[in-house]
Amino acid sequence: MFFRDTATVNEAGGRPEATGAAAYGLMGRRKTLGLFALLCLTLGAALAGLLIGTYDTGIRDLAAALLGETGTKSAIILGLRLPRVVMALLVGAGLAVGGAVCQAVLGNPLASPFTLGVSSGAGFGAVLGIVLFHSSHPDAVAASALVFAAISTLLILGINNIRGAGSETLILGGVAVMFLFSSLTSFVQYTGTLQEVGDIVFWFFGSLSKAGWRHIAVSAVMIALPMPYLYLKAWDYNAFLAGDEAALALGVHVGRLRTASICLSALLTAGAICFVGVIGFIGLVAPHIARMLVGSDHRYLLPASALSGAALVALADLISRILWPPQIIPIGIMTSFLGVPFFFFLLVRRTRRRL
Amino acid sequence: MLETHNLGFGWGKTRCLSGVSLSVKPGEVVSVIGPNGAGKSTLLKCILHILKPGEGEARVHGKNVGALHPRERAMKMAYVPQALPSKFPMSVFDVVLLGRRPYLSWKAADRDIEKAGRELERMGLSRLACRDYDTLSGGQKQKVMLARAFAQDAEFLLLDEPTSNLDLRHQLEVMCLLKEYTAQDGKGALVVLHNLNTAARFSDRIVMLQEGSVFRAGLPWDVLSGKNIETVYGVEVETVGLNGCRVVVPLRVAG
Repeated sequence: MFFRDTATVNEAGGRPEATGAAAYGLMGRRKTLGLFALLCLTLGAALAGLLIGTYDTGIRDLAAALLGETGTKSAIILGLRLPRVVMALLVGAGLAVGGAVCQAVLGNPLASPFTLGVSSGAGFGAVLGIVLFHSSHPDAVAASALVFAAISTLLILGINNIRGAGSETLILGGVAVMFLFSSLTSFVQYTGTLQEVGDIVFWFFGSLSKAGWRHIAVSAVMIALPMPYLYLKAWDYNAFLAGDEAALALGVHVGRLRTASICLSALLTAGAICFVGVIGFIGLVAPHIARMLVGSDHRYLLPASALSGAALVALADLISRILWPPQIIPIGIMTSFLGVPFFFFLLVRRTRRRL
Repeated sequence: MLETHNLGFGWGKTRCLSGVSLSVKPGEVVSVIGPNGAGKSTLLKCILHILKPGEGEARVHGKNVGALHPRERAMKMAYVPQALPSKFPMSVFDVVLLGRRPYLSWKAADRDIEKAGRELERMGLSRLACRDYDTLSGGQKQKVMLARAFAQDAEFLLLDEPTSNLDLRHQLEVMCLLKEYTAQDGKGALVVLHNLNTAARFSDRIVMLQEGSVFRAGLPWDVLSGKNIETVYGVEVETVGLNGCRVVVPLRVAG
């Protein structure tokens, strides 16, 4: 982990190395620093997203637009780019925190609302919505996506309530739910018209262009509502890392918290993807990036995940717009393009460190 | 006082535990011994209500454990499971600080951090505070787990095979630390052990389990008679005196 580097430097430099509680204090400051760096990165990405595009704008144009000047540049910045950027930040934060919480309560680094089948449920809902209501009714499509995200969550909770079902059962069940909805999606695609198939494929690519302020408001509520609860439970998530039984003995309502957390992370995920389509990988990769920066203490990890997720999606959106103008590469493709190599880099780095 | 009355548990029709009654007083180390599958771990889990007992009950100071709020339960009993999971990189200090979970609000208060620091120091592991828990040796990991349990400041410690997988020195260290802690801080400990000699040396009393029931319970050498061991383990042993210590020497599998 990066934040430990300084300790090694101290040792080599001959300064007295901090031990025990003092070392913990130092570590805390380093984590705060890591959070601050992530915050700067996120703000930077957001600012870049507002200023950079096919149409040249500068910081002065942004200031003018914010001060109420009307004109082409202001319209582009406030009307076109601002909603994209806000949605990107929201989606990234929602997916990342949902992933971090799932990884904690299931004690599995591979867990995320995607592996639990929530997103395939939402995907199938969207597909059904496209076939039934056509893509001219995006609200109906989003509503249908939400309903099926809820249904897949209920399926998962059903598995969770089987007596003696551990987190492995839950993850296997989630993968099964994922395949169920994927095959249902394929079936609808197979029987659909060419137009429908086109719309379906487009929905699955993910696009931030679909988001208007009304959609952003709905997503923001769904993503912001669960956050305080999840954040207050940070210590309980830490206890989960010691295993279910140890967590129970540490006074955590393991069953109840797991159910609540799965529901809330499903809500976060649904809020993130119902309007913009399936944006993969963020829920898995952002918590891991955050963990490498600030460690596994969820008091730091949850905000760090939210920030890394937000920064990643904002950056991916920016790159997707400037890479091949005037084409916009779908965001769902871009997040993986960007996330996978970065993730591999961190993975290799960490493995080397341990050897 | 920690006590169980006729504690029983089963998976479906398979009985794992039946009619187990025992007690642990403050300042006392009680060992649970018995062959594999005798129900030792199940016993600890039932007392903690990690597994809900089928019949009977466990009580702490006369109160049924099942009726306690989880947080209250955690203030009465600390538990170190057999397996030491390590799923995500976590610093040693964070692991120990977890023991303060029952007392913490959201922010870790200075006294919680101090307590965790003191327990880490007691184990002689202060220098490892920032190390990744995963990178420690088995013995160090076990000590960190013990530090976490000590930091929990519960009245009773329930430890599941704290010395298995440890080398000679670590076995001795861990048991001495436990003995010292119970004596100094007036805590009671219920410890599952495999090594009969360790159990004999460090326990105030021993409970010997056979097929889910108490076979014998009492003072160490009353329980560890050759006849009892042969009946429960199916192994012929001889007890020899060595420099004022008595040790059990296994001879052969009883035919």
